[in-house]
Amino acid sequence: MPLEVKNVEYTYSPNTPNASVALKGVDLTIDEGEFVGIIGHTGSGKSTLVQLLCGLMEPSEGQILIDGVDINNKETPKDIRKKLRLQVGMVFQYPEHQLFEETVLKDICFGPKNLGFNEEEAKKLAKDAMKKVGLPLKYAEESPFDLSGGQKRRVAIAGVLAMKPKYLILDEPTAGLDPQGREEILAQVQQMQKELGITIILVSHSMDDVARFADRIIVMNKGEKYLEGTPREIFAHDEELISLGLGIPQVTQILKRLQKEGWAVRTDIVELDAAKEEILKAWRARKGGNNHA
Amino acid sequence: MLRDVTIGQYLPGNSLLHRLDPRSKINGVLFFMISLFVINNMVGYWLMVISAVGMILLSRIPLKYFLKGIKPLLLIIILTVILQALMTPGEIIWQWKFLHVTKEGLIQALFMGTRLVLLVSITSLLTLTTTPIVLTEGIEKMLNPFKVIGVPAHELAMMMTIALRFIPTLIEETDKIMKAQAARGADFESGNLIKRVNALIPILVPLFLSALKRAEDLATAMEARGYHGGEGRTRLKELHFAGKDYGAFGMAVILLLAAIATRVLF
Ligand SMILES: Nc1ncnc2c1ncn2[C@@H]1O[C@H](COP(=O)(O)OP(=O)(O)OP(=O)(O)O)[C@@H](O)[C@H]1O
Ligand SMILES: [Mg+2]
Repeated sequence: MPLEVKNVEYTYSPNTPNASVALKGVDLTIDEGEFVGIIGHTGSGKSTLVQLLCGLMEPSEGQILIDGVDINNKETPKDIRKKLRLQVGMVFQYPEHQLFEETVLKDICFGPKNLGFNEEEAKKLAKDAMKKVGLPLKYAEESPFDLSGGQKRRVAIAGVLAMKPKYLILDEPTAGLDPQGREEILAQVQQMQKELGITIILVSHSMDDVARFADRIIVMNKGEKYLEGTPREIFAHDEELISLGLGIPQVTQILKRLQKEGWAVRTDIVELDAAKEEILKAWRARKGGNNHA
Repeated sequence: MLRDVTIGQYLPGNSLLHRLDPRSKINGVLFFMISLFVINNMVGYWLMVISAVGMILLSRIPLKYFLKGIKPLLLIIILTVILQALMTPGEIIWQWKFLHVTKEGLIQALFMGTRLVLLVSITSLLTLTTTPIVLTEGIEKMLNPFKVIGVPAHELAMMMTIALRFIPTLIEETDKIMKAQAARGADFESGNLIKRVNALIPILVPLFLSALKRAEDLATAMEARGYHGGEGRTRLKELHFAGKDYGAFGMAVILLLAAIATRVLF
């Protein structure tokens, strides 16, 4: 069953002088097993949207449905709503700020225990989650505060994964990490989607990352859904994206440049490997042509 | 939400009160408070109410901001008023079982209520018309003479400035951490007292850690920019007394004298 956002509006500090409308009239559906990327300029409402999705805030207008149930409808029993909400795992920007336990393992157990698992089960879930995020088990008994930034981030993600969410939201999970750390974390996230069928929603500022990993992209602008489609469809709107203060993936930029210089290449390609093929094809064609002349 | 908490809220403006030197304003508030405790009859209360209303009008700040300042204290004010009304002996005008309200009690209650409302309004007026930074600067300058008896004026002012600066940051941070833990299924609302206190640990630990980290970073940044305490430090904007400040001082003195006069004469 999907995650649905129906005509949602959100205003921060309503009825005060500093009220600010963060979302207006947003409609979208996220299907099970999808990898959705959300992009948008700073302040476009991405974080607000995903916080509504996991029930941390209530929309001012409209509904959020998980598996067809309105999670903010007071008529549904509270524990059912809580259970539904907890199917949506959320990894915040700089998630390492949520670590608090003495050991890595205990911290990861926090979520499963809140779900009602006993000590043993929680530990097992925690260890599984550590493996999934590529965190060696030798760190289990260490203090999470002694780890490096990238490792802390993994502990925090494992803390959410251990709760076995059906939907996993990552709000800029790679902010402030080095390229290798980013690559690893995103690759592991994709693996979870492929192998475990977890639905992934990735908020990112990196066009390259969403282009590579997402099946579908949602572009937010000033609190509204601006575009929605596959990476190829989205990045065909390059001029619009640039005018929104966004960009297009580097490989697409290169292809566009090549086309401008007179190379016969397609420009609707967003993945590195496909771009390589395309350039090689054009290169061979040109060389072939030269040989004939 | 937590963010809506306003402490020492400043409302930008360009009224005479906004432009006064902070020392004049602090001084004015002090004189006003002393006067409030000097007066003891109806004439005196009218004097104070009229001068407070005059100042509020002068500041051109909408009345609702003052009401907002009074709101959190409403319970205390009402309680004080009720106790005054019930506890003062005198001519009984209403009685129910062992409870009785006297005429004197009613008047005392009215006076006490007015006093509290004026007290809160006038301090709100000070913070509404003065930025926290300028306010602490004023306090520092006023404490300077006491340095000779060992009052660390500059350090106190610096601490206040930093604390004021970081209140919104900490509130924001608490909000974020609470959300992150709620997403992991933490429950802050149900259970008995012990359970609820325990539920605070996942919020307090990250909050203290980040506050300590922030303090460390701030100290490093201040040192890196050559901060070495108050000695020989100059300011971008020097405070200086202008004609209007002498005027304000004069008015404050007149108010106090008038308050004493109402007590003696009526
Ligand atoms: N707690 C808050 N209180 C008041 N306004 C807020 C709050 N959080 C966000 N806003 C406002 O809501 C709007 C949307 O913010 P949001 O955090 O959703 O943007 P974002 O797309 O996640 O931006 P970024 O890319 O910088 O993370 C912004 O205009 C912001 O100023
Ligand atoms: Mg954000």
